[in-house]
Amino acid sequence: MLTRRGFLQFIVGGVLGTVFSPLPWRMADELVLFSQRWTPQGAPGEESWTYTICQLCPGGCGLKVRKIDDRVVKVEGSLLNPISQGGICPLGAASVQYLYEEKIRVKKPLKRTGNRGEGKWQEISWSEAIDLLTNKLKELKSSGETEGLLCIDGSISRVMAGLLKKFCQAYGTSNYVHLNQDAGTALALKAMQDHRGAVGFDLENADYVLSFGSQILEGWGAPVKLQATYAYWHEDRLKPRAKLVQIEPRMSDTAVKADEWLPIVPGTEALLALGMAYVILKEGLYNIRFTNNANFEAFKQLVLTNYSPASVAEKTGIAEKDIIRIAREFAKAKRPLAVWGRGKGYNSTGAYEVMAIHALNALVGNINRKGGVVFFKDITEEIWPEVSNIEIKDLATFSQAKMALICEANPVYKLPTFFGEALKDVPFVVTLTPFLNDTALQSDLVLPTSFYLERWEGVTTPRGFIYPMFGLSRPVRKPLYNTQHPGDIILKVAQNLGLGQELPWSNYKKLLQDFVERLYARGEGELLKGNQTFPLPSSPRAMWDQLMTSVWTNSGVVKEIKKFDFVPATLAEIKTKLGWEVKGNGKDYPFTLIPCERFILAENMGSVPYLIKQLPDTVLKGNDLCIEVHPETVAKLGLRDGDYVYLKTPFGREKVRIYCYECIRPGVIGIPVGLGHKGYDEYLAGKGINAYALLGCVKEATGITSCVLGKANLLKI
Amino acid sequence: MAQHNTQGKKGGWAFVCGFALAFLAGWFFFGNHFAVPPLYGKKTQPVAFSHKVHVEDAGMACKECHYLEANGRWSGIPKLDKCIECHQEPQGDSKEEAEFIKNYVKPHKEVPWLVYSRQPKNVFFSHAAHLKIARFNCKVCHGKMGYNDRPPVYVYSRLSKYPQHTVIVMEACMKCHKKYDAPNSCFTCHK
Amino acid sequence: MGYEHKEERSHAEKYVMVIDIDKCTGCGACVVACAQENNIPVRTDETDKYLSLNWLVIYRVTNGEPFPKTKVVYVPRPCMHCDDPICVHVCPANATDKDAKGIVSQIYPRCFGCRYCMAACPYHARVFNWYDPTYPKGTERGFNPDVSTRMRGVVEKCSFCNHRYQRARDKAIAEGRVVLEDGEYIPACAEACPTNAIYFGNVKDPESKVSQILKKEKPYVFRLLEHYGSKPSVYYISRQPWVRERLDWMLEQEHKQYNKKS
Repeated sequence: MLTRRGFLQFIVGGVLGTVFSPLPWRMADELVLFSQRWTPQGAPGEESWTYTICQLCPGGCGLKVRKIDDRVVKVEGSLLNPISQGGICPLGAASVQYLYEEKIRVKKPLKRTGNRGEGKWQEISWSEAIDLLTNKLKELKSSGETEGLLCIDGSISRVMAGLLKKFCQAYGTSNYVHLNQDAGTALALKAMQDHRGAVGFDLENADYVLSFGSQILEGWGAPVKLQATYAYWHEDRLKPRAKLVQIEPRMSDTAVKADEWLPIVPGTEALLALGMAYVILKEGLYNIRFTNNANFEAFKQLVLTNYSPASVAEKTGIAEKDIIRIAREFAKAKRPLAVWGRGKGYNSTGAYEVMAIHALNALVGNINRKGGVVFFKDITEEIWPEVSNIEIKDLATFSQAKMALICEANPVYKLPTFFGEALKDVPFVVTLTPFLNDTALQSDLVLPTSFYLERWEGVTTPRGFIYPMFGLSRPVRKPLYNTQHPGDIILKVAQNLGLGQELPWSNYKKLLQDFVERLYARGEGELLKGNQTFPLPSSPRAMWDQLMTSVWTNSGVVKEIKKFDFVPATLAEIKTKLGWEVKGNGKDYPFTLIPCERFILAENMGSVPYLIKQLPDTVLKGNDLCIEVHPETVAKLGLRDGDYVYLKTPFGREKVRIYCYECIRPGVIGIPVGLGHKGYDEYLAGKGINAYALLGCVKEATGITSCVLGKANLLKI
Repeated sequence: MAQHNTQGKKGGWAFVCGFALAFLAGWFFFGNHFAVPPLYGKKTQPVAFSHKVHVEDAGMACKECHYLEANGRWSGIPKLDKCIECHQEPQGDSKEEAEFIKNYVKPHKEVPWLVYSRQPKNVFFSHAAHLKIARFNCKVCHGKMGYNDRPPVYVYSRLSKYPQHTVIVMEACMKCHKKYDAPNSCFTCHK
Repeated sequence: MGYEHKEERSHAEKYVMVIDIDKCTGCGACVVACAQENNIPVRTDETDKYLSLNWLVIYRVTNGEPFPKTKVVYVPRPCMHCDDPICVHVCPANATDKDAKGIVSQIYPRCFGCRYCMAACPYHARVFNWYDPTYPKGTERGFNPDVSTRMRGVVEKCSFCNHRYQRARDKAIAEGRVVLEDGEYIPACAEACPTNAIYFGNVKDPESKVSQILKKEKPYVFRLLEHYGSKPSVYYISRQPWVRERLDWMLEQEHKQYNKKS
């Protein structure tokens, strides 16, 4: 009979027995392991490394990509590449997110259902998509309206751009525009030197650099190369090799690192350049190399009459003594160099400014010299001379387009008041893009292209580099989604249209191989790998193989200058206005609005989360964009730092927040560019506003359009 | 008085009963000798791989499948491509091999091997250090794995899902590290 | 303020980092490389900097003067891996320790998220996972398998890419040696930097780059919050004396001493 006591003793016995058995210890271990909470982890696998070249900007940085099995896990700089020398920029480092972020990639060809901008698509097959595109092109051709095809190109690779130019030529349209092309520079250099080709700035060997708003350390030119150049300048921290003078209305990160920052009134850069030219001419500090047959006397007359430092000082906001001092320092330096290309150099500064700044270079005689500005024919022009005849058209010159073919560009975002509006009247818009961006949303047919890590590409001379270069960007993995190389798409369409003679390649890789063969056939140049130089190998096939880890350069390229003309007649037009036709009168819009570019805000590609993560909260707060305003201006309006305010321009009105920034000119408002996207995903879309929508376009008397400044007002809410 | 005595005796028996029951049950169900449910589960490998056949009959060396790569990583269990080198066609006439070829070689599907010495995800075990510096013989941790004719039954804990064979818990590692003057700091083995 | 290393531990390696503030342009390549290398989570809204998780942070330091005397520098700040780590002393779970080669570890499963270490760290180098870490959909494919992902409720911090040390050492052992060459093991930030502003190496090796730099630039070398006594392993170089003043507490006579130099 079990009593209560017995029962209790049974229980106690049981407990003791349990204690002496493995149960408690096993269960403790098991519960510890059971309660561990693991989040998804990268699976281990075989590691492999591939060398390739980045294609997120025209900088041409060599990369070393790490893969685990067939997953790309890291993108690093390659020490074998003479451009980047092992470094990498934030965009390149974030390449893996660009590749893998599912929601921003276009996975299949899309045909629009619903209205433009609604984002309603029907997934179609490639054959259907190519047929649709081919038929539309055939339609235009049969009605004799091939000029109705507008091709907007944003390709980073000039080989791809060359293919598109060839296609346009073969098809029969001259309406080709490349969004990264600086029409202002092209126009200026044509007038001054009859030059069509590459421009290089030898910053590495310069010892006095005058930068007119060029954000040299934030994505201008070949970004990583210039970072390395900056480190080279400051190798001895007490005796830097070069002095950098940054001339811009706000203190950008480049101005932070520069030796001197001149806060100039926006839009008056050309005046300042001519004011400095005055000092150089007056004090006879110029080099006589370019004064013969160059309209020098007329130029000298023009400058000495109109652009004295005193008169220029008032308009530009730079003290007269500073203008004189800087001009003297510049002219007396051993290897002075004046560079142009505001911000990252993608927005044209207009022809006048380039002419004025380049005149400074001519005055100190640094053209085609070590540490100066050099001119040569780029390799794409040498190999495909037939495409260099395409006029570099300004954005505003295309008239009624019947069809728009947009290749890896985002014109609806970049120029919303212009392209965004104009595209509404274009009956059929086709976009070739890897990402579902603003332009794709407004298109009728979206053809997904492979990301650079998934395709072959030819990399030509990085921007601002001083001699021609060619490299191969190889695919690191096969395409994740049902995408194709834009070159393959164009070649297929060309074949269907019967343009096989002008474009005889069956696919893009064959085109590249042909390109390399022709490059090899020229017999010029050498191969660079790390810091070693090798002669050209024994065959084109060997050259192709070598290009997997080295780059071709032609350091002995002929640096040509056909003539030089100071173009005083053209420069004289500056004195009528500031040169720009800015919309908005001074009363309703008392402030000047300038775009603020940042390294990590990539306009063409959009920025991925790892880049947006780094934005300080003085640029983006929640989903609100913050504009830079001088505390004086803010106080005058009776506002405070962090306040909401309406930013009104002749092109629109948006709600933003104020960031009191002391290092911007009073009366100037800086608006960060690169945010305010539509399309993409929740990490980027809807954050901030599109600065270009408010900046609008300004036009110059030369016909160049740009978005370098605007007029604005701040209204209290 | 007599009632108490009998009761005391009965109570004594209850205690012993309880103790014995719990003791035996504990050792039976939670010790790893019998490895029975509810705590333990047993599985068999998807392919009945025989080390004996491959070493003796096929004359293979251990390091043909299990080796230290040039970058220091341990190759682990070989991938299907290694098996295919020979097993594209049947090499013998066993039923197991035929099944292997049908289920894995033909559709080129990786074999989901059950790893007897699986470690938690945040553990970094360096075969290079243990083979080359500590000069361990494989037997020390993997027992007689390399000589078996059939893969041993895979015993695992149903609660924590970890295998129960060569139970390398952290304490065992640290004891040995202390003995042989190897570093015992966390980041030596964790990531 | 000595940075001469006493032989506290008899180990052939002590890893330090030297960051040249004069060369740093604030581009952020180091931060992105660190994020990609260490599987750093991303939130949809990263503008709340209290919740934004970063192991390496770039501070924008100004001299506090009004324009035109305003000067700005960018200071990247990883975990200092102090020789006298306060966080290690206070952790109740023993989830962090300092190993013989100078790296302060952080073990995620052992941490239960009391955040005592976060309170103790004077550099705010430690960050907390308030929520389950989230990643943009699809980017889990790009996870680095050498670094474990964290779970909510644990503290994490820069590890000087210790996983790279583990891999480099394995490679060396496979090649038959135990000593790592200079530059064989460097963290992701040092590798990415385009101006080579970040140096990393074994300071106990007199031939290493960091030893040479520390010797060569001695008058300009300093550490953050030196007076705190935590003996960080990260050294900074700047030729501008005001930078030094902003990044440490100074006594009156020290202020005068550094001001003289400018």
